[in-house]
Amino acid sequence: MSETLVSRESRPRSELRPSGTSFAGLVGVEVRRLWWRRLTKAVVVAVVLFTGATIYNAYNASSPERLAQQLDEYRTMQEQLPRMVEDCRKQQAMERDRSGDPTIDFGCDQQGQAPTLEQMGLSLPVADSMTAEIAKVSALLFAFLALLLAASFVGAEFSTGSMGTWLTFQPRRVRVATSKLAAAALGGAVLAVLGLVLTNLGARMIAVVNRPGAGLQLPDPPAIGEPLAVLGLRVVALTLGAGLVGAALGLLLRHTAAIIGVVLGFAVVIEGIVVQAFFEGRLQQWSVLKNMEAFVEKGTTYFAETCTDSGCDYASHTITYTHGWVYLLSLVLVIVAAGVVSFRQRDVT
Amino acid sequence: MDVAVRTTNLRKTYVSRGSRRVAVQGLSMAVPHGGVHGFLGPNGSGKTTTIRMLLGLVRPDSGTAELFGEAVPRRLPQVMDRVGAIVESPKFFPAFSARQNLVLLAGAIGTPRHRVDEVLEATHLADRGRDRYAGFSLGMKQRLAIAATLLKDPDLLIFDEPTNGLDPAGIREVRDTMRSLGAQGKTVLVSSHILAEVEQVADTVSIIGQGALLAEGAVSDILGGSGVAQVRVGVAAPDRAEQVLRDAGFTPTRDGQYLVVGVEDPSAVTRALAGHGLYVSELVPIRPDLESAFLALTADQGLGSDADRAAGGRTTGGAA
Repeated sequence: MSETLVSRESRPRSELRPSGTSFAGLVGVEVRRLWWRRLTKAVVVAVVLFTGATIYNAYNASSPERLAQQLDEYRTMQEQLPRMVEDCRKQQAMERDRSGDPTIDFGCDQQGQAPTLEQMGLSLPVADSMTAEIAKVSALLFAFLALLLAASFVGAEFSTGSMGTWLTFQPRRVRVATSKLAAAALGGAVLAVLGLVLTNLGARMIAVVNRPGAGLQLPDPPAIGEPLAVLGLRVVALTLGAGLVGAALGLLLRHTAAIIGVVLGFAVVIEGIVVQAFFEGRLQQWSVLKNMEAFVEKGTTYFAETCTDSGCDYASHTITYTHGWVYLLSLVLVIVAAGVVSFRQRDVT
Repeated sequence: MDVAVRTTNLRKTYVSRGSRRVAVQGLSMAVPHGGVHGFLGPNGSGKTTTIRMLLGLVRPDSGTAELFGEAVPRRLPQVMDRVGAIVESPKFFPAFSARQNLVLLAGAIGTPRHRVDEVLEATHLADRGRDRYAGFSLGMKQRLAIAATLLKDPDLLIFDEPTNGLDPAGIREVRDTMRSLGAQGKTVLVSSHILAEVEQVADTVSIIGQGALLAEGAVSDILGGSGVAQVRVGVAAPDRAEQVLRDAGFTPTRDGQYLVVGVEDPSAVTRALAGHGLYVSELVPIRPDLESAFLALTADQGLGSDADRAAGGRTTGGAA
């Protein structure tokens, strides 16, 4: 080995000097780094496995044999219904005699109304409906994985000290921060797209494989009420936002473990305890999870105590789709702004 | 003087959990363009903080800093392509290979991909380019860090304690690299608390203590100003010889069985002793070195870490 690591360059400096890179180029470098990370591969595998598991579950639940069995159970229940109503009325009469109160009502008439097949969840396996149901359930998991991936993506740079090295190559802090945010958001969006595409492919296969024969008369499932792509876009937007929040928390807290701790702590303490236990459930309208649900499902409901002149009673309240997206967008913007400002101002040691 | 780096009244205070620590207080220094400039100071004297402020990693509380005449951190983007830096230990993504780390950095500044292979070759890492950084020895990590700085073909290279943890071969390699870069007309700013190492390569130095400049200039000037020349005298009867020299107007000090005498002309010592029948068995000039100068300066200021004091204890006949 020679004693010096560098020798005099004979080429013109224009050939050696860096030419600079655009913002898109910088995002491309960050995306490449994101893809090279082991955690990214692990998260992709997790999405594939989870989607596979949900598809397998849907396949089992919608097999013609299972549907036929459920249909038999439904018919048996229908046949037994008049006798159940009759038993109910007898017990009601006995109780009225025993207590001497003729107003006692066991609600036997309501028992006499058999639920419909749709209410029992018995319907033909239709690909779009299955995709929509699975997507609504998967959205939260995809969002959490996107947040975890993005938080680790940025947090690892601080914990390894490579953020300092990076800034000696790209000293524009805001540019650096936004390129990382963009890459993390893209990563989150790609995760959701992957999950949704696999879900839809799986659902289409199930719809073909599990198509019941002519002997099994089942209704179509309830209509989704919107094009499937629109629901898909909302799921993608949710994971994109989760990626942004994860990266912004990375810029703020600078350590993956700290971010995971904060997120899980928030989920358990705030979402699990405070929101449920205080103010008789009225805080639920500000619950992040409830608003995510409202955003994905175009509205949701929660139960909370409402008091009027005549007293207090638990009632169902609605969180609208608009409330959901405005609330979530505001939250994302605040956290992202805090992350960028913090990264711009604070020392990197 | 054409200046590559200049700081004026630079000041930085760290606040942590309610306590305040002044890391740099009013540091003004200038690093001339071209050659190797040593940036010396005890551990905790503010060298790394100063370098971090030059690179925009840490914001100064007050004062100004310039790289090639451009105010930093405001104009850092305009000048950063001319600066390569290794701050403290090299820091890369441990799970990525050497090559992957360099590809990312090259992409960040728009350097063509083939330069990655070239700098890996130049730093003798070509055959280890696909190995994970986490498995590298400290010497290889240091070489990779140098490879990263070379991606820019910089005019200014900043090395912060570049030989920490290296074996002798690694130290020599880094030292020769710095010397070679300086000889190519590049400016090399090397911070260190290992003075003998810097003395071998530096043309000029800045010495700081407790975040303030103590001395600055050419190494020869610093050494010249560190005190008079000294000789170590071996003689059969040191007690009597000491008295003779005192009577002759010298101010000898004892160093075991030897005497250390500050004198411009060593023959004056032999003459004085021979005149009283005392014959010198050993007369060794003590060459002033940077360590002595440094210890003298920091001692004057009541500075220096425990490590530095220990180093001072190893210096025989030092000016301190």
